[in-house]
Order: sequence, then structure tokens, then C-alpha cells
Amino acid sequence: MVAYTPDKIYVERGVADSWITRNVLRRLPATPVEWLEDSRTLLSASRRAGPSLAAAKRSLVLARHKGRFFKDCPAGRSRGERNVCCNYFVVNYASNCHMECSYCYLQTHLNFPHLVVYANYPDLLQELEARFESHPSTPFRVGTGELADSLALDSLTRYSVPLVEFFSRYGNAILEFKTKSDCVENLMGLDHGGRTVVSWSINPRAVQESDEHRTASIERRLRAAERCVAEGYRVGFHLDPMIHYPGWQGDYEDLVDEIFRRLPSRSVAWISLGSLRLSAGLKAFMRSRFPRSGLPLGELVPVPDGKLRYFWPIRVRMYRSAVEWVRARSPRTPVYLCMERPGVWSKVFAQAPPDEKRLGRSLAVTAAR
Amino acid sequence: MSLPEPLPALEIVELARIDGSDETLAITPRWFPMDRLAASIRCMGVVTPLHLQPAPAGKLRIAMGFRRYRAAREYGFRKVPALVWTRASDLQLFDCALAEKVTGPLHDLERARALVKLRAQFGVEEESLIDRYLPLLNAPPSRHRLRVLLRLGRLDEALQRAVHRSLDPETAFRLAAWRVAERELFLGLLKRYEPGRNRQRELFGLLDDLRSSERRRGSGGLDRVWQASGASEADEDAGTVRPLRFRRILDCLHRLRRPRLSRHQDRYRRLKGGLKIPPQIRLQVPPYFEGDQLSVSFSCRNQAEFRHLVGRLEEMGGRAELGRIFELL
Ligand code: SF4
Repeated sequence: MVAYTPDKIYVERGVADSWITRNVLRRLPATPVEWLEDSRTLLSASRRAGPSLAAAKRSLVLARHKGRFFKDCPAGRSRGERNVCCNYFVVNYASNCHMECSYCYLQTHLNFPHLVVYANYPDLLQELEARFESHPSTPFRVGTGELADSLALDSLTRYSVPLVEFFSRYGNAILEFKTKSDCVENLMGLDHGGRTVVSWSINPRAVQESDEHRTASIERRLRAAERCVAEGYRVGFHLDPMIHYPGWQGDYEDLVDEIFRRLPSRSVAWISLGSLRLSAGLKAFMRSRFPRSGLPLGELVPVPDGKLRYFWPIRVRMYRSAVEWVRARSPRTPVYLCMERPGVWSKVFAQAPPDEKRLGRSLAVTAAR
Repeated sequence: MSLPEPLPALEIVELARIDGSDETLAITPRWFPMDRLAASIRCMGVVTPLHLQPAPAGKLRIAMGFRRYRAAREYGFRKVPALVWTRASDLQLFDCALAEKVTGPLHDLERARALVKLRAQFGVEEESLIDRYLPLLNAPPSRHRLRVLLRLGRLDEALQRAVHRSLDPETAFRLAAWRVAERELFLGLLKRYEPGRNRQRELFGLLDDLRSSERRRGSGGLDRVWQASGASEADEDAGTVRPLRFRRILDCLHRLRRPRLSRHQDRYRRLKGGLKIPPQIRLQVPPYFEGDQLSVSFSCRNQAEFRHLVGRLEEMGGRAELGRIFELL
């Protein structure tokens, strides 16, 4: 991964004393800092000035999160036919990402182009504590990678440390870091209690090289996964977004093969599958920002949830193949689909989609084994 | 926007003294239609004075009134009323021209041209364009809007003319990256078939995707797409009415762009045909076969017809074709 060094740091006065803020400022002593009363003033300024996305991401904003951190994963909430939900929860500790995946939905999803880290992490932990303690028999799977990469900024913020330590105290919750980086240094030596899964979104090398700019190479991601496994963490892999291109079968099968050759299958908590999905706006944005990317040229059709996706027989074929490759190497590793409608689940797994509560529960339980 | 001199006295100026080729201060593109203005000048002559500035060799250049000047020449007038400014700078006169322009309807291409000139000719900073000039031009003061207008103003004349006719500006920006012959093909289609904005975008999207795929394969560009898809043949089919021809062109391009989906659609049509459904029964698959429910509806006028249709439905229920239609979902 290309390391992130912002040109400027904006700090809200309200988080001046936060441990996260101090970590960042200590690691970037030479970067100019501007103090703000409220980062929302930056938002209105950037709306007016309209800096390019790449330029805006050069500034890091350390702010207080004003709303709730903890949310249901929005994947199950979709327009049209509802997608199968795996009962996942997200905490948005940050928003935006300095890496540049051509297909990243954040490019058109966020209305604030800067990279923001919410430094009031004690509030986040307090919110989680209240939730976990009031529902002691509910298994929670919580991810931090919805609006940002979970670990890409960790060498600056060390955000992972209090999170891992916090989750180690809860028997009913699993934390998932989802990343395309190899920033696992801070996870070493932590007392994680088996409650943290470190997972990688992963694609064949050809896709990483053409469309996942500034991310860690597949080799580095796998090496990072090996380090985590050596520390007793369970790891996960998200073959998402799967890309349909000439030669995809061979490349994806090799990738699955490499995962299970390099990592013991019992250390793999889950594998999820998803395919390329783009809003019409994102497709246009990609065409102008990444004109060399071939991804928008796939056989995509508009589906009822408002996105463009591969025509369903293509998706089903890719998923079925991936399920077979995983099963052949590790029959017990849970495989699930991300953001797919029940009809596609049935075709891929040749059975009706599972009860959603049970799906979430079983993933949480297997992860903790 | 004040001028450094009092209003000059009204003069009657010989058209021959005016150098109409100097368009430094022109806001409206020369090729904009001026039928109404021309008609009025033809019968009334020029009643609103031109604003002029001294130019080398005893000539005068136009600051405001380019179109009035052209119409006057066209209809053989020799003299026009004018105000000749001697001390005002180009920028001051341009500001005045803008202030006068915005009293009437303004096309985005005029806004765009004014902004490009302010930036390139007069060196006005972007901040000032946003804060001062966009509001003056009745446009929202944002950098995004400024960028769009500057892009529009920098398009070449052929594309600007197409935008003026009906081309969506976003499409025009992307079209600017195409080779001239490819652009001409697309603009020719717009001229021939005059599609609405949505169809225009659909056509452009298909051609642009197919063209990019061709180029990635290194196997030529739009010309190959045009031939290989059969769109060229559909376009030349003089025996078919224009709207149908346009639909066929789109269909050919869709087939090339989404071959699996097209095969699926063909299969569905065949199977549906095999069911020999009476017209009162409607069978509908979800858009793009994305969904697992087939929708069946029927309408009838009386009980006998109702029973007849139910019988037909029951019969359809046992047909293999119906089972295969479900497999397409
Ligand atoms: S790593 Fe994830 S969040 Fe970052 S650009 Fe890529 S897809 Fe977006």
C-alpha cells in the first residue's frame, strides 16, 4: 500500500486531547495543522470550492463524530427486491480512503471529500458497550470498513488497539477489520481473545494491478494475513467485487488455491462473495477518472436495487465456481454472498437462502471457534 | 461596473469604418441564429446604437452590437447609430456588454464563452469568476458550475453547435475525446433521427462502451462497431420509417454490448411465442430477468370469457415452455 501522508491536518478543538489525535500529530510532526471549531465549516467551504476528490483526500480531518457510530449494515436495505442480509453491524470510525480503487463507491457516495477520522473513540466504545450489555444473548458481528478501509490509516491513528482490546472482553461480539492494506503491525502482541477477525478484500493480481490503485499488493495482503494467523487471529476474505473478464476462472481459482495453501483452513473464518456493482453515476465517474479501466465495460445491467451489475447468469456462474473452489479446499469454511437477492442465493447454493438471523449467528459463532 | 468616462454622444457611423472581424469582445457565437433580430432590422433599421471603440488605421471595433452590425450589413444599410468609447478599457466594456446581455435570455454557451474570455483574455482569477461573474450571469456561484461552463466554452465549434441544437453537454464533453470521424458519425445520427435527450444518452452510452471495448482489444474503433453490430445496415435501410430505423440501430448496438442478455431475451421471446398466449393474457418477466417472479395478468368482459381464459392458463401451466421461462429468471 502507498502510505498516506496528508498535506495538511485539520483538527477540531473538541478532539485536541484525544489519544488518536496525539498519535497522528506525533507521527506527522512536519505536517501543517489547522485548528477548527467545527469541521462542518470545511464541508460548506469544500462544497463551494469543489476541490477534486484526489486533492481533497490530501487533507486529513480529525473530528468528533456527532451522531451514532453503531449502525445496521445498509447492504440488506435495498430498493426493489430485498437483498439477503447477514445481520452485520458497522461502526463508522472514519470516512473516505486514500487508496484509489476505480470501482470504490465512496467516490460518489460521500458528500464530504476529505478524509475524516472520528477521534472521539471513547464515545464509540461506550456506545458499543451499551449495545452489547443490553443484548447479552445476541451475537454481534461488527465491522469498521463500511465508509473507510479498516486499517489503512492505522499506522497513524492506532485506532485498532482500543477496539481489539475492547472486543476481547465481550463473548457476544466479533470485530471485523476489512482492509486492502497490509497495516497489521499494531495488531501484533494484542490480547485479542479470539474476538477479532482480520479480513481482506481480495481479487486476482491482474485486477489489483489495474483497478486497485495504491492498495497493498495481493502478495503483501496474504503475507499480512499469515502474520495475523501466526498471532492467533482468524482471518476472512472477501472476493468482492468479483470481476468478470477473459480468464477470470483461472485467476480466481488460483487465488482461492493460494489462500488455502498459505493459510490453514481452520484459521479462515469466512469467505464472502460479491460482484461488481456500480450506480449509474459511479460508472460515469469511473469512466472519467479511470478511463483505462475496463470494469465499466462488462455486461452490466440495471437491477432493481438501482445499481448496475453483471447480468445474473454471469454472477451465478462466478459465485458457483468460487463456492466449488472453496469447498474443494476447505469444505467447512462458511461462504456467503454479499448484497444478493434471495433468487441468486438459491441458484448458487441450490437451496433456499438461510434464515437471516441464523446466518448472522452462525457466522459469528464460527468466527469465534 | 462603472465606466471612466461619461456616456459618449450618439453618432451616426459609416459601416465601412467598422472592423467587424475583431470579435475580441463578442459574447454570442457568430453562428447563433438571429432570425428575429434580422427581421426587425430589415424593416426598422438599427435603432439601438452599437458601442464602438477606436481601432488602428482610423477604424472602429465593436464592443456591443455584433449581431446588429451583421444584420445591418446584410440588408445593405450604410450607416448605424453608435456610441464611441475612447477611454474605457476592454474589460470595462466587456463588463458592460455582459450587463446588457443578461437583461435578455442567455444561453449557457454565451455564459461559457464570456467566462472563457474573462479567464483567458482578461486574466480574471477563478475566485472572481465564481464570486462576481457567475451571479452576474444568473448562474450559481460554485466551482463546479464554473468548471462545467469553462469546459463548455472550450469545446470546438462543431460540438458547440450540436449542444446548441440539442446535444446534452455531458455527452458533448465525452464526445470531445472521440476521433473526428467517430464524432461525425454520432452527430450525423442525431441530425438524422433527432432523438430526445434520454435516447441520445442511451445511444452515446452504447457507442462509447463498445468503442472503448474495441480500443482495449486494439481492434479498431467505432467504425468496426458500427459495421459488426449491423447498425450500419439498419441505418441505410431506406425502406423503414425513421423511428423504426433508430430503434433497430439501438437494438443492434444492445446486442453487441450485452450478448448474453440478448440471447436470453431471444429465448424468452421464442418460448413465449410457443405458448400461443391469447392477447387478453399478459405475461411479463422482471426487467433484465432480475427477480424470480413472473407476472401474469388477464382481462375479460364476461364470465364465459373468464372461464375460457382460466382454461387457457391451466393449459399453459402444463407446458414445458412455461417451465423453461421460469428457468430464465
Ligand atoms: S480500499 Fe476500499 S475504501 Fe479504499 S478506495 Fe478501495 S474500495 Fe474504496
